[in-house]
Amino acid sequence: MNVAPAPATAVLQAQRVSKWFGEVIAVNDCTLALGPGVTGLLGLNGAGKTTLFKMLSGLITPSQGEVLIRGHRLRRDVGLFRRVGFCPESDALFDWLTGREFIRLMVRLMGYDGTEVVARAERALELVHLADAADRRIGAYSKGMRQKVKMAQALAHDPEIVFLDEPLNGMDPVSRREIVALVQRLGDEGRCVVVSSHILPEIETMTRSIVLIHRGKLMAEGDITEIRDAIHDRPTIVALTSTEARRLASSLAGRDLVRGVEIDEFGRVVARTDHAVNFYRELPGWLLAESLPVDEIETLDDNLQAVFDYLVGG
Amino acid sequence: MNVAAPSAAGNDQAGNDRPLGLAVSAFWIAFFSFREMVRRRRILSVGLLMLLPVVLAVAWRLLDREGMIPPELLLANLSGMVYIHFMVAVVSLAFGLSAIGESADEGTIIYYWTRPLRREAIYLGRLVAAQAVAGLLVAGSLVAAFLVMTVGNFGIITLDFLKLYVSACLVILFGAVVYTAIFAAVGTGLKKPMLPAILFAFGWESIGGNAPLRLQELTVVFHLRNLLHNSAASTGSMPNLLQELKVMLLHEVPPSTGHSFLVLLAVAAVAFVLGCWLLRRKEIFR
Repeated sequence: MNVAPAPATAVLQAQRVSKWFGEVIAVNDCTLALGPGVTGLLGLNGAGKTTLFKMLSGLITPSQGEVLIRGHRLRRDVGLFRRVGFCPESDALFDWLTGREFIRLMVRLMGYDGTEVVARAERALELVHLADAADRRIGAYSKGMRQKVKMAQALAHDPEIVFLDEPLNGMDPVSRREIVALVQRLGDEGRCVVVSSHILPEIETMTRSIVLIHRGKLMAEGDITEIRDAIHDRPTIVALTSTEARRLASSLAGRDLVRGVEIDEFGRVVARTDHAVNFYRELPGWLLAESLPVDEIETLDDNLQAVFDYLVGG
Repeated sequence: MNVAAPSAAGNDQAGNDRPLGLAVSAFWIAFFSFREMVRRRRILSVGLLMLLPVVLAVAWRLLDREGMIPPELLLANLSGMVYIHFMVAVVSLAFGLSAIGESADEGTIIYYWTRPLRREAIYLGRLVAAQAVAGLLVAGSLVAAFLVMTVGNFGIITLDFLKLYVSACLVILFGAVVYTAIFAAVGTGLKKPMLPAILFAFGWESIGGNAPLRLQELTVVFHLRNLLHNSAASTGSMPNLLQELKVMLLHEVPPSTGHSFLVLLAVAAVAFVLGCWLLRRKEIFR
């Protein structure tokens, strides 16, 4: 299901891309267009998320279709990598270099020289709060610091498009907060940031915009809430705050559209339905007919996990 | 700290969306790859192995006090049989195979891959670094062997001996360059390149290199030996004697030095082009 139209400002496009390995189809006919802002790439293990991510970032070639950055093919026009920052999931680094040497090399290989290399490297190290440890060998870094130095090399040249593969892996809570804030800022600044993660709450802290892939197919693309709203006859859980909770619960329990009712620890009536759209359409009529007072209605599962579980049948 | 606006991405010094210059990028990759390769643990084991000719030279100093084996003969045999047939292949195998393959397996190649670099520049930089490390080890061994032979025995240093030594060094180093280029391509193309590379180095090169008629011309070792033979024609070393025997019995006229040099150069060039092509097709899954 594709709920969001391709943004007019699309920076990164995948046009009917497929990738197969022998007889196994990893990604099947995916089309998407990403513009400025942070987009989370989601999928279960084996869903094709990593393959799609690597195709988008130019590490592997689609068996069919093409990936375009500003209308050009990244795999063919490698000069476009100036516009791209890539933070890999793999922990492999040049362990024998210091963090500073590594970042300087990476900046130099982006085409900068002299003082610009030094300035950009320092700025990137400060950006990820690694300046103090920059003269230590990367081999002596903790997992979180390794993650940060990978982030720094991805950002040092001010890329327009940033690919982050599991960027919060191994980070302590403080570092996580810093990196989440940094990612949000990158998106706010107008960069196209693609974050791949299998940890949904991580993605949710960074963005509400997702691309969901399942069994090699693009299942959904857009804002979490929009996706949720676009799912007709979806199940949902609704909490209703009422001064007459017991009467309300009793009334709802007898309705065909309601699968279950309970009163939670806050005294709210929690109703479960398999047909959210119909439920919301009928609810005002039920309340009016029985003069049931309701102060607040809240959807409890309007989050990424719920959308994800529903879409992939989890 | 604010990150610069994305519109400015790479638009100042870095300029445009063209890839970086081949020479500049290959230089930096070679510079850092060299530093990486000399830190590999295998440099110790290969370095120790490279002491074999030095040990043979020590044995010569200790055991041949009556001068039954002239220094030129020892040098020609060391060059033709020990270095060309064994040492050069071993050192090239150790650093050539891993030049690209290991970096791709480990995942560090991704950092070169995601820069505006031509694949040729990445390949060239890594290859040159591997060739430099292999050449350095071989050169170290050659210098050590020379010192063992000559220190306190300065009488052996004649003009002929020096010419022989220098030409042997050049041929051996050239051999290391050619073999490393071949193994780098093998390591780029194959997921498990070790066995095929060993079969090539010690199977095909040994058997084919000694095969009769023109079959041997299809081996690298033949052309290296031919270069050596022409520079050590009067030493009476074992490879030279075999060569003379073939000329006499089979009426095989060996190709000229220039021919062998060009063949080896062509082999290295073809291996380079093949390696670049394989790298362009390579996909990074780590």
